[in-house]
Amino acid sequence: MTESPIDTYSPRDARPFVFTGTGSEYFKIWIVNLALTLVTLGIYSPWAKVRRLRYFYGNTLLDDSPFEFHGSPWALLKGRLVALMLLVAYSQAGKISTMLWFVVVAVLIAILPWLLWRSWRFRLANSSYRGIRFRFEGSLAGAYATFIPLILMVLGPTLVLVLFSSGFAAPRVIAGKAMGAYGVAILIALLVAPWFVYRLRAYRHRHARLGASAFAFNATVGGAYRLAGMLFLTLIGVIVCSFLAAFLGGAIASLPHYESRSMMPIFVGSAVGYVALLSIYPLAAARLQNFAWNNTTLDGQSFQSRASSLTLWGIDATNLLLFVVTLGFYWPFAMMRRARYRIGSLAWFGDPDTIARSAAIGNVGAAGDETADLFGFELAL
Amino acid sequence: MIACRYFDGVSSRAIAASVVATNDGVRITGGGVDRIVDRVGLSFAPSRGDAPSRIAFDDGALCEIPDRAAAESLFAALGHRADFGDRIASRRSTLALVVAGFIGISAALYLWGVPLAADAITRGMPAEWQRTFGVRVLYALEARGIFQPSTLSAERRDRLRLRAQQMKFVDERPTFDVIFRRFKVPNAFALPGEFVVVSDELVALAKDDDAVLTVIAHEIGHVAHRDAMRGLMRATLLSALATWYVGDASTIAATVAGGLGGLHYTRHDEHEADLFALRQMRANHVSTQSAADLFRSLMAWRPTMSVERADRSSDVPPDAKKEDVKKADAKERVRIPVYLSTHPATEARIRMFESGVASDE
Repeated sequence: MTESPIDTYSPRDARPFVFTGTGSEYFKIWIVNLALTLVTLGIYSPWAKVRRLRYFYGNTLLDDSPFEFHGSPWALLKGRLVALMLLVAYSQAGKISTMLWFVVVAVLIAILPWLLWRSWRFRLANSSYRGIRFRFEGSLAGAYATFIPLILMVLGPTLVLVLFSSGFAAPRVIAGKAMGAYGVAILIALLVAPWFVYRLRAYRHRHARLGASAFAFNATVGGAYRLAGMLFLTLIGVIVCSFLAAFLGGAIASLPHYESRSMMPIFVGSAVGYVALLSIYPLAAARLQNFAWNNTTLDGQSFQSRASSLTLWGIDATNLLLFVVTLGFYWPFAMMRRARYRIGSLAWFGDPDTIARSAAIGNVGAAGDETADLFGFELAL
Repeated sequence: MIACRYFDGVSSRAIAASVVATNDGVRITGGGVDRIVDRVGLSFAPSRGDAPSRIAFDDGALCEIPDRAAAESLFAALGHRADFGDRIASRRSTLALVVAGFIGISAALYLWGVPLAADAITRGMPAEWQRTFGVRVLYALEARGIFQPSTLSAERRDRLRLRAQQMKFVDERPTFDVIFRRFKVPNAFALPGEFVVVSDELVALAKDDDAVLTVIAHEIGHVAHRDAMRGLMRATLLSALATWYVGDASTIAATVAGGLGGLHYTRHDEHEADLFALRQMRANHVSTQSAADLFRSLMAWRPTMSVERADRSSDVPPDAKKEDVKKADAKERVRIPVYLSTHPATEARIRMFESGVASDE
C-alpha cells in the first residue's frame, strides 16, 4: 500500500524527503527503551531519547543522505535533573502556602521562554546534514516577544475568571458577570490565536540556519487567518459528529435494561465523542504542516508540503484501532507509519549539494531541551 | 574497498570515494581525497534499513556507506560495539527476555506496585489536606446542584448523627462527620476528609435507624481505611503509568486504561468496609438484619418509587409530557449511580448482613 503523496517525480521537481524507518526495527529500540527506563526508574531515559532521535534522524533522507542527531545523553540527563527540581518545587510550593505556589508558578512562566529558546538552540545545534550543522540564531528577546503573548493568551481566560470570582474559599456561586468576562476572554484568545501562533512559527523558521544558508518564512498573517478559518470549519464538523455520538450514548442509556449499569452507555458515548474530538488533531496537523512548510525557504529555495488531511486521518484512525487491539504494542509501528507519511509529503526545490559550512558553531547546554520536554511542551505547532 | 560518499564537512557536495580498513583506522580515497584516520577519531553509525551507514570524523567530515552488509563487517573489523540497548535487541533470546520482562514488570506494577504506592502516598498525606480536598468536592457537587440540602427532619438527622458518634469503636476511634444531603437516588459514600454522606432517599427506604446506622458504619470503615483518597491515588497513578507507557499521544487510551483499572480495586475495599461494619454493629449490639432488608429494598428501587417526587419539579415543568418525565428520570439516574452499582450487591452480601457474621470469619 503506498501512502506516498508524490507519485510523479522528475529532476526539475522538488526533491522528496524519505523516511526509511520500519516498525520491526523501531519496535526493538522502543521496547528496550521502555524496559530499561522502567528498570532504572527513569535514569536511562536520556539514553532512550537519544537512541530514538538518532533512529528518526538517521532514517530521514534527503537525496539519499540521512540527517544526524549529535546530542549527548549526559547533557540531557543534566537537563532532566533540572526539570525534576522544578517539578518538585512546583508540587511542594502548594503544600507550604498558596502565596508560595503563585510565586513558583510566576517564576516558571517567566523562565519558560528562556527554556524553550535554549531547547531550540540545543536541538538545532546538535542536528546536522552531510556534516554541516544547523543553528538557531533567534535572540532571547525575540523569544520573549513571541512567547509572552502566547502565554497570556492561554492563561488569560483563567486569570480573568479568578479575578472576577468572589474568592477561593467557596466557589459556590460564580457570578454571571464573571462567566461573561470569561467568555469574552476566551473569545479574544481565540481571535488572536492564529496571529500569535503565526508569530511563533515565523520566529522559529526565520532564525534557523543550516551552515551558511538561512531559512526564511514568507507566510502572511492573512494566510494564517485563512488557515484558522478552515480549521474552525473542520472543528464545527467534528463537534457536530461528537454531539451525535453523545446523543447516541444517551439514547442507549434510556433503554430499559440499563438501570444499575448506568455508567456504561455514558462511557461508550463519551468514548465515541473522544475519538471524534481526537480526529481534529490529524486534520489540523496536515494543514498546519502544509502551511508552515509551503511558506518556508532555505537558501531562497522553497519547501513543498503536500500532506492530505484525509490520508493522515485514516492513518491515525487505523493506528488507534490497532493500538487498542494490541494493547499498545502496535505503537512503534504506528509511529513509523505516521512518520513515513508526514516526512514523505515534504520536499525541497533546492540542490542539496550547495550547502556550505558556516564559521560560527557554539556548544549549547542541554538544560533547555529537557525541561521543555518534561513539562509537556512538545511544541508541534 | 567499499564504495562510499565522502563529505568534507565544509560543503555538502558528495565525493564518490572508497573506504578501506587499515591497521588502526580507515583510509578514504577518491575524487581528490586521500586521508588516513586513526580509529580514535572515528564514530560509527550503523544503519538498520535502507538508510546508509555512516562513519563520522572528528573534524566534521563524514562518509556514507550505502552497502549495509559491507559497512557492518567494516565496523566489526574496526572493533565497533553497538550500545547496550542495541546489543540486547539484536539477539532474539535477549529481546524475548526483555519483552517478557517488560510485560511481567508492568503486570506487577498494576497488581501490586500501584496499590502499594497509593497506600504509601495516602498514609503520608496530612489529614488536613484530605479534609480540604473533601470540602472542595462537597462544594463542587453542591454548586452543580447534584447535592441539595437535606429535607429530613432535623430531629431525625441529629438522632442518627448522635448514634453514629456514640458508637463504641472496636479499634482506634476514627474521626468522621456524618452529613445528609438529597441527591435523588438512595446512596451513601465516604469522601476524603472523613465525610460520610448519606442521601435522604436511602434513609427513606430504611425501615429503622439500625439499617442506616449499619450503612453509616460501612462508610466509616471507608473513612478509617482512607479508601476514598487511596482510590483516587490508585486511579491517578494508573493513568499516569498508562500515559507514560503510551507516550505523548492517545490520551484516550490512557484515560480508559486508568479508569477501567481503577474499578478492579474497589471490590476489596468494599469487602473490608463490610467487615468493619459487621464488627462495629456486633460490638455495639445492633442487629444488621434491617440493613439486609434495606439492601433488598435497594435492589428493587426505581426512581419512580422515590418518595420525594417533588424534586423532579425543579427540572421538569408540572405539565410535562410522560416522555419528558422519563427522560428526566434517565438523566437523574445517570448522574449518580444507584447504590448498588458502586457496592457489590450479591445475595452473598445480603446473607452476610442477615446473619451478622462475615463470610470469612
